[in-house]
Amino acid sequence: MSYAICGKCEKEYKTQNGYLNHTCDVTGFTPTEPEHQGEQFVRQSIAAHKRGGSKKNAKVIKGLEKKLDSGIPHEVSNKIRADRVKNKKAQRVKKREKLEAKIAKKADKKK
Amino acid sequence: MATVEIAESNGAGETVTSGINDTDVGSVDSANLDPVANPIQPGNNSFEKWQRFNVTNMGTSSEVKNLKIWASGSPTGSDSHVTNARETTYGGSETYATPTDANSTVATQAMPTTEPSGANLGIGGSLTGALTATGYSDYLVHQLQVDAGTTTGTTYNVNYQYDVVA
Repeated sequence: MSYAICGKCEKEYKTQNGYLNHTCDVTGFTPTEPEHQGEQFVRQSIAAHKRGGSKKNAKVIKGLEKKLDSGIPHEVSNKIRADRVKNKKAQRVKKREKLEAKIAKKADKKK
Repeated sequence: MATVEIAESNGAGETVTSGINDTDVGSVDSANLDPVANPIQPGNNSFEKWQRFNVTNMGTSSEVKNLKIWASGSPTGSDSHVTNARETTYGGSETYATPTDANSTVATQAMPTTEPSGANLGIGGSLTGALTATGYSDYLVHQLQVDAGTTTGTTYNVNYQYDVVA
């Protein structure tokens, strides 16, 4: 693996731990928190814990449902999120092109 | 509480995008791609998707297991959505290979359109496997193969399900 990218803020990390410990600019959460993925994932998490059964899970489910009731604060509109992602992608492509041009120039000089 | 997301691998060097927003398929090998800007031409295939469940936090839970993948809906006309996910004759853990838009040799069975009765994606190469710490499942590989007569696309959901044991 060359590097890991956060699917939300598009920041790149050399290690999985680096990714897991970052606080995402877009969501305001770390990837270890279910809120990082948004409301739909919190609902999926509740369903997964329900299928798992047990009293211990019931406590977790209660906590997650409470989070849903109070609203997921980072829920930005899909359009804003898509625009952010598009801009960052364009910036990354530009950066890569610049770097490739620099490498090509260096190689020409060597010749 | 266990936290689980979907990670997608792309490119020759395996770039992993964690916490993907969607699983749209298209004519480029990219996570979170725009299918309108990257349409699949009739008679061609999408690039394969290489995705994994990524447990980012076990919390107080002991196991994440019973991974199920299925689609709620079907592709257009004679198009086929194929995958390596299956309940019988599971091929085990696949080794990552650069996604291709040629006919997939890994995703060779139709994507189920109803919830499988048991796990159809493994952990550690086994359908009965479980994650007891942060980490990845086996790769889910899937591809859309578009018929030569197809003129319009369609939208449907792919479900990624897991169970959490306290």
